[in-house]
Amino acid sequence: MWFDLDGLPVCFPYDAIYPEQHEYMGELKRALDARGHALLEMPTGTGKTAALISLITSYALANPSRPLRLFYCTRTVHEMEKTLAELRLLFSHLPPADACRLLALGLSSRKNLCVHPQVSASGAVDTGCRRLTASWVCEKAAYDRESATPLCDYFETFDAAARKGDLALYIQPGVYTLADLRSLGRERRICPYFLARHMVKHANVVVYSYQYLLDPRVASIVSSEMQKDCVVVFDEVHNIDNVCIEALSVSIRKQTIQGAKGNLRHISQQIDRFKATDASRLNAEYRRLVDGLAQRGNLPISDAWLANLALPDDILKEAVPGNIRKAEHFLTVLWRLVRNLDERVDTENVVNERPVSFATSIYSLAGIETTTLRFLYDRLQSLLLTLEITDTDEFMHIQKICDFATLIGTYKRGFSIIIEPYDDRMPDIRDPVIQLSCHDASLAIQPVFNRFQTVVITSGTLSPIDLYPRLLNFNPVISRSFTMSLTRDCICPMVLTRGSDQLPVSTKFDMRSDPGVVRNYGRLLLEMASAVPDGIVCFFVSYSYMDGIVSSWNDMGILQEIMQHKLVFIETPDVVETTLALDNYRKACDCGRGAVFFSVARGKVVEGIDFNRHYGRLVIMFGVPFQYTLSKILRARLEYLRETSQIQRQAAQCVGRVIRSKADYGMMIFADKRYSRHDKRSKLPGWIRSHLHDAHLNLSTDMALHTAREFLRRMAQPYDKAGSSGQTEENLQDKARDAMEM
Amino acid sequence: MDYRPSRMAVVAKCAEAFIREFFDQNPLSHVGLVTIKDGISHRLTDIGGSPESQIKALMGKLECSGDSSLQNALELIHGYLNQIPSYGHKEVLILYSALNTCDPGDVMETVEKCKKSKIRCSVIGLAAEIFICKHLCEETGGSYTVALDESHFKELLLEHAPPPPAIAEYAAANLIKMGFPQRGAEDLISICSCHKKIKSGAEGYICPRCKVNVCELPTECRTCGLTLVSSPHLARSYHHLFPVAPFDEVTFKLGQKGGQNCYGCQQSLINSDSQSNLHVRCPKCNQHFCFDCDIYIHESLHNCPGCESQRSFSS
Repeated sequence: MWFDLDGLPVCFPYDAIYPEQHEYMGELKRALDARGHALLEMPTGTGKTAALISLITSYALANPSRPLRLFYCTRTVHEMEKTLAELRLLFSHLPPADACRLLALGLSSRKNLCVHPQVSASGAVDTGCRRLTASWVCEKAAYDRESATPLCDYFETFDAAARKGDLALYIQPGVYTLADLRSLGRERRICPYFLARHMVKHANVVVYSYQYLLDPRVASIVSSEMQKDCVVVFDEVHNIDNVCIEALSVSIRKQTIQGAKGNLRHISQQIDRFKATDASRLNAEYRRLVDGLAQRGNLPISDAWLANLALPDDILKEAVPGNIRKAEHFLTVLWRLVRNLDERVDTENVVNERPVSFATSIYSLAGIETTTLRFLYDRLQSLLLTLEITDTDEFMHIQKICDFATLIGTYKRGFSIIIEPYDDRMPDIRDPVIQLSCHDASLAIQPVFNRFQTVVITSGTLSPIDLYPRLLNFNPVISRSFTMSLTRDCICPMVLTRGSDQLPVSTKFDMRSDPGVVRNYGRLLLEMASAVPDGIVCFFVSYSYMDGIVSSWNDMGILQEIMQHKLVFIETPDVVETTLALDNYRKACDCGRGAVFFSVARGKVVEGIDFNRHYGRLVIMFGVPFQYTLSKILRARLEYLRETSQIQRQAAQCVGRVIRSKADYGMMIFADKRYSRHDKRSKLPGWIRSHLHDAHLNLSTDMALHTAREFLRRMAQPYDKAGSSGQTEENLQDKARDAMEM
Repeated sequence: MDYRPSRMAVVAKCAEAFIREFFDQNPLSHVGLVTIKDGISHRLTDIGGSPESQIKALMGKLECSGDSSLQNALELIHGYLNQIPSYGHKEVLILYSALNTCDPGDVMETVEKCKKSKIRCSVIGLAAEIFICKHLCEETGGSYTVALDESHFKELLLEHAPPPPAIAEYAAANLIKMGFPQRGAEDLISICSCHKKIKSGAEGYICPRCKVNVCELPTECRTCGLTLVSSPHLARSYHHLFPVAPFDEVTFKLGQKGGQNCYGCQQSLINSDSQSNLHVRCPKCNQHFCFDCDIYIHESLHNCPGCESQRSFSS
């Protein structure tokens, strides 16, 4: 349908539009008009993606002076595919004259795009690809045809086409998902990865993971191609601050240092070999560095490691210091650094230092200046290229150490270095680690805000919304939180304060180990397991608490009773194990057996996984999740931020994953007496609070059970799918007319 | 508990009402009962046409215990219904009280199997929506409902009694032999084949092929095995295929010629005390009917008396 939004004709690919989508588009348009950043919160399942892309596309079509350049950053490959599907739907509704000019494609790593039969089947796609496509390999093959150097045919086709400049012939305008790109590659025998990377320059819409923009190490291949007037959208980024921080945090363990030493030995052998056979290459590199030429820009596309986005511009312009220009000198500097770190890591007590003091200590102990530290990362990349090393995974360790050094050399604020001799979870086993942790989320994202005129950050949970501009240090022109207009009361939050014996339940420290509380929590889960079909997700406040309570339930026999109703799956810190558990959990929900998933509110593994539809008919939050305040990193960060209101967002995110669409429904139980207090409750997002009836604020287990049964019955009734909340084209026109008349 | 006195009692009561209603609406159809308990499914009765024997078997075996297995039940049903000739509708109605299913294998495969054999599965849940049931119903084209309370449960159950709209690709055309017996003459005394009692002819029907006396229609002739029905039965079974056209509303103009009485009940159509002479007319036979007969014809009888009598005149 087409409708008019403040004078802008908007093409919307559905027949009806929800009022909040309409409003959302209005705010977005204002942000585009003002050429500023926007921060928009709208509950999941209300069609954010459709609203976003249809408005931005329509906006670009209506303003031919500003061509459509949209970079849509998603979190996972799956979301990427969903976004591309929406785009395809939208493009099919556009007038053909417009649609045939637009190109939209998804971009992912080699791993997801490779079509080379052997390489894609092997585990290490990146390394395998580089081995076949690096420029020196190609050169060697061209130079010496008899040696039969293996090459990738797909890349050769791409390379030949790129030389002739007729790559555009290979890809017609339209929407290309990753699967489409792969089949195109197979059909035309051209490498989809390099084709996509090349076409990013020309595409109107690019959908990719936001790591490409935020993580300097993932090498932003688009950094040089994106103009100022691009619109950048970050979708589903409720943990963007964590992603930014992780992008700039490095931890070095004993193994890393050992590995780095091995790498250095390998490199020095290589250097010796090159000296003996082909000294000119090393000399050329030296001369280039003397000339102060930055090594990027004149490299073939397949070799590019690409610019470090997070470094300030002035560093890039500076010349590489003299003492690391020669390969062997550089190597001695690295040796000194690695030995120094090796000594530092062998400490008995916890050390917390600022980057400045750390850099000073490196200077006094190893004699490496701060300016030198800054260039280590780039210098290493240059050396690896010169030495024609394709196996980048092997050199991961030394790269990590150079990365660490560069960050220390570059930033004076916003970081701290924490050396811990023991892991918190296992205080008996010695596992020393040097952590460089970033506290300032704005550092990684700042270049993005500066570079682009409009950055849209949007997610289902951004509460409290005024925190984000401060965390990320930017000034949004629009910052709004929308509520979902639901056709029915499809979420049922409940606050449970008492167990079935009417005694209060809480995970407060003095109460959590009380057997009565443990039993009450157990009975609650048991009763719910017998009344709720399919999937139940339980969140606990920490791994240690979960382990404790599950083993007590086992002793009390409650766990066995629960198992009669549902299968039980538990999240562990191990990624592989948890992924397997999640898969089986889904399977159990699908086949009707029913399952319970025990998870931890801040668990890394489950973060970002949706428990929608029957995968999470009920979410029980046992206790109030607090940030783990004993963690050294967190304490350092808190000191930096002087900001503690992270707590409740976690609870909201945990329970917020139940609802992903309007047809969906789910219940949430907050099982802690502290939730009945207003100050805790007020930190929950508005859309949950609005469904929290007064009658559900102070429930005991039996009352909650009754409410749950009633709710499930009510929700199972058929309802009007189209819903009264959707507005059709005519409605909107009527409204517009009314507004005109007034 | 949510249903009083117990879920079992409520379900049994409603199931009984359903069976009676079902045979009333679909005199030609057959029903078999299967129970699911203790992880296995058990055949309670064979597929048959007599409501009384079905109800008797059901009431004698009211038990519930253990886990339920949807897959086992579907496998069993699939085994029975697969032998049904292609002109029949194959339908399963599951009254499901449990909130999960403990299956020995992959239930999805069984769902696929049912879908392939064109068995339409419907589920009425007693407590909450279960994904697998919803999936089953969506895949096989059935309906999935969840009861709010006892009366709602009964309502949902009885909604399944009328035959579903026939789907053209499912229904293969086939000729079936049927007899339309006539009521016996007053003076004919014979032994009925069903109860082995002496009855006068007026109390029973005479099979047109072997002339044996049967008490009730529809049935299968005990002697020659011919399916014996009456035309209203057929109409009731297949009224979805041949619906009676909706009657037009007409007002009665004074002085108009033609019948002043309802063709159905012979009541006068002219309402003496008011001006409202509204009534209906069949668009085919142009006979006039009162509103009561309109409702009766469309909801119960499923054929128009006017059209039927015209046909008999012409033939």
